[in-house]
Parts: sequence; C-alpha cells; structure tokens
Amino acid sequence: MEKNQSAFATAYLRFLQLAKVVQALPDGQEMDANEVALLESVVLRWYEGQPMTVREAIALASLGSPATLHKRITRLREKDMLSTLNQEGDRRAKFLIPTQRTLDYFQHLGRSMQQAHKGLAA
Amino acid sequence: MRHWLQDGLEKTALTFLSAVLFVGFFKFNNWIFSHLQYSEGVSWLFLPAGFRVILVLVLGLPGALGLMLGSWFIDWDLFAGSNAILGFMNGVAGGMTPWLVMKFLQNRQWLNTHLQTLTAPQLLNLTLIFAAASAIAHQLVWLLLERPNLNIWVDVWPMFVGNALGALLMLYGCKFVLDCVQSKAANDQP
Repeated sequence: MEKNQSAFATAYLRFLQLAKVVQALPDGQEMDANEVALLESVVLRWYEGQPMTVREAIALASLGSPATLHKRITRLREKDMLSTLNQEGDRRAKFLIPTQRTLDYFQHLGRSMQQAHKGLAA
Repeated sequence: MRHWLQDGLEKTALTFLSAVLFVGFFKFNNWIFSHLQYSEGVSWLFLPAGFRVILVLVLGLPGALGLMLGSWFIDWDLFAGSNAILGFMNGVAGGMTPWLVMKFLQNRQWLNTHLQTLTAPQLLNLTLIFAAASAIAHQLVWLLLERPNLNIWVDVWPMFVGNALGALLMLYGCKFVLDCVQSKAANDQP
C-alpha cells in the first residue's frame, strides 16, 4: 500500500496523524469523570433556566459529600469551566454559570455525537 | 522509471524542507535565547529539538537527512577549518540518532510506521527519548573526537534539558496553534 503513495502524500498523512496526537497532549485542564458529572448537573439546571446555587450543588448527595463537591467546584472554576454570579440584592446566593469554554465543550460533544450518528446511518 | 524519478524528487524536496526548517529555527533559537547558552552549541532551551521529533516522525529518512544537511550547514566553519570530521559527525549524530531511535522502536513494534497507534503519552515519552539519545550521541562524538573543554558527565545534562524543553515548547506551541485554529473553525461553522 505504501508503494502506491507518493512521499508527499505519506508525509501529509503522517502529519495529520501527528497533529491529532499533538492536540491530545495533556494540558492540565482535563476533567475526571466526577467533575464531568457535576458539570453536567450544573449545566442542565442552567439550561432549564434555573441556575444552581453553590449551596444546592454541594448538596448533591449522589455525587459526593459537601466538602468533596466544594473542592470539585473550585477545580472546575480553576479550569474555567464554571463561573459564579451573585443575585441582585442578595450577595449570599451564588449561582453557578457555565463559561464560554464549557459551552464550546458541550458544542464539541454535540457535534461528535452528530458525526457518530451520521457514520452509523451511512 | 517515471514513478522512481518522481519519488526521488519528492524525497529530495522534503530533505531540503527539513534542512531549511532546522537551520531557520537554529538561527532563531540562537537569536532569541542566546542568553540561555550553556556552552558553544549547547543551550538550556533548544527549540530545533522539536523539529527533530516532528520532522523524523513525519518525513522519516528524508527528515533525518535534512537535519544532517542542516547541521553540516551550521557547522560550515568546522569544515573549512581543521576539524572537518567533528563537523561531519555532528551532523550524523544530530540527524541520524532520532531516525535510528525511531527505527528501533518500530522494529520493537512500539511505534507504528504511519503513527496510527501513537498516543499523547507515547509522544511525550518519545520526545524525552529523542532528547536523551541526541544529547548522548553528541557528547560521545565530542568525546571521541577530543573536543576541547569537554566534561561529558556534566555537559550531557544541559544538552538533554535543552533538547527536552525545546521539543516540549515546540509541541505545545503547535498544540496551541491547532487548538486556536480548530476553535475558530468551530465558531465560524453555522
């Protein structure tokens, strides 16, 4: 098979392959499964028009203890996946809001799902 | 016959492309990181080491030959002076070491010829292996050819660190550019 490919074509295909690997290099911003689960819960509530407060998020007993969830929220904020918003008139209620990076992340997941669906249908 | 000629021309073009990129980044590195130079030819940050990884993985032998040609061009003063063998071997060590390492890993089936099975952690490991192999090969050449003021046990470390940091910086620079391009393309999509 290689004999039929020109040197340029082989180099280009290897370049595409390497570019894919380079893009997958770890950058310390990856989320673990627990962080993804919490993020999904927070974003779903935001999508329904009822953003979750920090107090509500740390009370999600199915995802962990309040202390663990608080640490997870802090990590998601450090990774620029969540931001907080104070309610007018009540500075104690902090709402968790997805960032642009989070929206891009879900958009990417949506596109990937569409592509996979197209691939299965073809 | 025609296919053979076309293949030869393409490989020659890729060899020269590899040489030009290596020399260009060598000069750029000398210009921008001159204050990080440890000794002559050894820097704590050596960006062209990134091209050793990229060019050898992508172009294979033409990439390695380009690195060798580029190194000979950089060491032209040595050829013109009294130490032509040192200049020649510098190029061989710089260009052929990563290629030989790649061939070894392919023979052991740790690396696929078309990079299909390459993963990000493997690429990082490969970068460190290339950096170490290149530093050791250069230091051995300099030891064998009795380059003055050489202390291999000490000098090999700055070279390894420079190669590894330079290659990582280059790879992460490429990652940054690719991420930006992809993000822009995703935003432009309706």
